[in-house]
Amino acid sequence: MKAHLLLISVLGGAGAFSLNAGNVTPIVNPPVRVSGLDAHDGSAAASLLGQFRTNNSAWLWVHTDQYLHNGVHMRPITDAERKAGIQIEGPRADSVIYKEVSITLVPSPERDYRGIVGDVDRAVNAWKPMKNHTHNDPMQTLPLFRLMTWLDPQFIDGWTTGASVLARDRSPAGTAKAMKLLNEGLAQNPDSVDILTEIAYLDITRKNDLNGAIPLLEHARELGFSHLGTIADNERDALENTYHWLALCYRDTNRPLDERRVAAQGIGAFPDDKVLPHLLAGTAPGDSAKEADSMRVGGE
Amino acid sequence: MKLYAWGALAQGVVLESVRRKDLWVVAILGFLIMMAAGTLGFFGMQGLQIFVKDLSVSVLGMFSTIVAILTAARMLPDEIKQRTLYPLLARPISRFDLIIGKTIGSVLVSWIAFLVLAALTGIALLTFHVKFEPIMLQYLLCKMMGLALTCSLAVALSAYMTPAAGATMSFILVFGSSMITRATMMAYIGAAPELKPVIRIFTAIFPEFTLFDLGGRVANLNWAPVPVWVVLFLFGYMFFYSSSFLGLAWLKFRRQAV
Repeated sequence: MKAHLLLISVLGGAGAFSLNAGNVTPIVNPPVRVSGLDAHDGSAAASLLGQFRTNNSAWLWVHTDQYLHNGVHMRPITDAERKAGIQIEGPRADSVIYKEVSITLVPSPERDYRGIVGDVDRAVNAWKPMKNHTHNDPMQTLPLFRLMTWLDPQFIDGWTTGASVLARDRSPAGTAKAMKLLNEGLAQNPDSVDILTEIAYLDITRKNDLNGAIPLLEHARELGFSHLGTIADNERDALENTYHWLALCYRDTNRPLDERRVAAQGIGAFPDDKVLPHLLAGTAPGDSAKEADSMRVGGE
Repeated sequence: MKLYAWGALAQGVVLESVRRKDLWVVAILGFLIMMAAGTLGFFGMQGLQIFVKDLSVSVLGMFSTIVAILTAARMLPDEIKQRTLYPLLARPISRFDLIIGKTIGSVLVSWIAFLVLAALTGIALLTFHVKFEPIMLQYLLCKMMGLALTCSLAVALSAYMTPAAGATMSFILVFGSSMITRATMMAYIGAAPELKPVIRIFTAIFPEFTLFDLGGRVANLNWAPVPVWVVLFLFGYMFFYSSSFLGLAWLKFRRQAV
């Protein structure tokens, strides 16, 4: 009897919900740029194809890291390993491409209890001691970025990191190539805070064109701030950078009111930020083009 | 040792594989590799050499392992199911000889598949001027030893399970070997002291199939060939574990009612 009542209640509830389904307004349904698997969530077929594309681009992304290390697999260090006193096997200071908090997947001799099997494992795999390691020339990985953005044009990191690699060549030609890639990415992802900010970053650091960067950063700030609660993590990091550079650009173009307005909004969005309070107080001295590199959230 | 009998049994497995058109599957896979290489050519090979080599050795290793497992896992159960085992056992050969001969046959089939795929991949890559270093020869040798070990595992599991279950377990153990070993070693660091000896024993017993895969060195640049003692160790490792697996298969099969 109880089961019947329960069943009737459930069916009744489901019926009432379905009758009202047309009136339900999603609380969170912003016209926000989506990334990752959600980017291809239009239909079952599109989703399946999208997952295939996203998986492939993610696979390429992982392999890009591996190629930079000449095949040596790296993995993040675990909390247990940290507690056990294991040190990360980080890059040499002059070889830093991006932040690495990792150790080799094939364990080094001091982490390995397998004896001769461990020695053989290290001999047959692409393994070498990676403390203070260097990287292969990132330019070698450019075709992979081209491939991953072709497979998945919504993969923002592919566009921005590819452009970063190109922009390591600080000549006008290198900058032009990076700009071209970013603009291509922007055409595919017009609402990407990260790509807009990256273009502005090149305007600031390579062309010293603050007035050219400000509209891009303003657009990125508006996009990011209006979807603050729903944007992806990488976009969120980019938005934090957007606030830094926009405030710096306003400071260096003698617009202190705009500088403070942007800094105040940025502090509201990122209360833990260390840079924005200085900009709000007007105590951040220096040159925005030089500071942009050092203030970058998440590394290059 | 009845080398002649083993040879005849192995030859039978290879002929059966040809008759069942298993090697056609290999040819089709090879064709797909060529097609895929052609697609990659669309992007231009400049800068993609490492990626293409990496992809090639991964595909090569994966397909040849699939052929090895599927060939080895169904041999004994098929002989029993199709009742072709009776005329075989009516001849002056023991069940041990049968297992050894059949395993050698499945190893030969997997080696043929592997070498055919390797040749096709090599041709596809040479078309794009992608060069391999001398370590490629060691890769081929070690991979062939790995395939022998894989076949032995599949034969052993097929003696205890249905062919499908045996094949599935073999896939899990062979393809998951690296993940299982790495995860075990990561778990060791945070494990309780009383658990650590258990983990050590598990790691010592569990066969590491990835030791036979030099793909990471082959795909990337300027890796030296592995020392000779490593190749010899791998041979011993393969011999020990293959013997153990075939011994387990024989323990089950010698008393099995057919």
